[in-house]
Amino acid sequence: MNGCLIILRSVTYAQRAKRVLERNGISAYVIKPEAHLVGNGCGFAVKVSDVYLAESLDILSGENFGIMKVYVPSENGYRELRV
Amino acid sequence: MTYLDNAATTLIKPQSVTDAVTEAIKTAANAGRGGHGASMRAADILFECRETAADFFGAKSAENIIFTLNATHALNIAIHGIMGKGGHAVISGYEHNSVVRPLAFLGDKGVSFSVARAPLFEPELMVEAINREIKKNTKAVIVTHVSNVFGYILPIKEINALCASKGIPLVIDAAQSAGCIPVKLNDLTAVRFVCMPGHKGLYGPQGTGILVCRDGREISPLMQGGTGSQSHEAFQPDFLPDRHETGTQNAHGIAGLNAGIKFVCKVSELYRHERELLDYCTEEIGKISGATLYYDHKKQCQSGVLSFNLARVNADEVSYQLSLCDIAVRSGFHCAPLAHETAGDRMGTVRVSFSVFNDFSDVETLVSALKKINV
Repeated sequence: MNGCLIILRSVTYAQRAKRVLERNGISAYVIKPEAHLVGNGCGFAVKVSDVYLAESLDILSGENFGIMKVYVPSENGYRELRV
Repeated sequence: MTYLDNAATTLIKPQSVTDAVTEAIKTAANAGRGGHGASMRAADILFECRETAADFFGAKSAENIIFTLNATHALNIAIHGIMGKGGHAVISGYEHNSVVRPLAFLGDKGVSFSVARAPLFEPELMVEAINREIKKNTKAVIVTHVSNVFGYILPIKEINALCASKGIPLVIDAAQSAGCIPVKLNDLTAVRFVCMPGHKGLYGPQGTGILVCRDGREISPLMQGGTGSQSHEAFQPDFLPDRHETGTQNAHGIAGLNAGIKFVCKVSELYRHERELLDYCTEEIGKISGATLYYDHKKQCQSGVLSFNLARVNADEVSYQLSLCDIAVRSGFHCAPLAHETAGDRMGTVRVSFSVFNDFSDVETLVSALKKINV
């Protein structure tokens, strides 16, 4: 899936985010993104379809997940989305 | 073997625990490190267990479950975290060395502690004793939920209410209660941490333990190192569980722990089963001439742990003689000399402790052997 990346603080947060999104009917995958996307070293992300990105961010923001960064696919790989 | 040393560890585990560990060893790599399937499998194992434990112990979220090596490790995180900069603590007279020793060690850093002494199986007197020992600079009350020596169930709800009324954090050592007697964070508002092993009443493997945190971010970590997160930062992350989980986690053991907790959730009335065995055991040992039993005659506040002595043979010799009959019990001071002192015992005791896998025939085997030893 060439989806969007929601960078979270740790693998535990990414897994909880996946569970929360799936409970809301949104398919999500936990992945380890390239370190430069995380910004301060190792980290994890949930990957979701761009169709569900806005809804996913709404859901996760409401549950205090501490989203670090959001990326959407671009011609060169990923482009950071300011949220 | 007739295994009656479940307060030390539950030797007999559910098959689901063995299966989960075996499967994890074959499939799970290092959790939260790589992005490959085997690493993700390990991360899934940890997260599933966090969710199971958070639900079972009433924690706010999966992150509030910290995996530790054992109960002692969990207690050290809590005690060093709260008391590390000095202050006063109150403990009960029935504490294990896993509480007493960290506090004694911190004496150099200005930590002092008072022991609330009250007779065995007198819960109201224990609450009064704790209340008497609280001072203006008391930073924490640290108590065992169940004495590992006598099975005495301390009045945790009343102690919680006392601490809540005075705004003092409560730390619970649930080494002997977790899995057998309910302890839920959301019912106990003063409780800051609950510390437990995975390998006793939760029927998980050795090398597993849990620290249940109300928050946990406010205290310093006991250890620092790799967490698989924020790796460019020199300091330990300030979020859970990473703040208190450093280095490779025991995914294989935690797979078993998760299966163990799920087993406990399915088996109803664990406490009642152990208590029935205790009552029968007490009745039968009580028939042996000169036997001394530490027993809650009111049947209100004792779990499936019984200490006793025979008149003619000392505790260690009884344990040795029983081992020759392939019966496993523990003797001595059980790493809790303070509890013996509080109860008035100076010689050590023989301790029998039950699990869900024991039945009345185990008690009969024990008593039959004791009658032969006590001659």
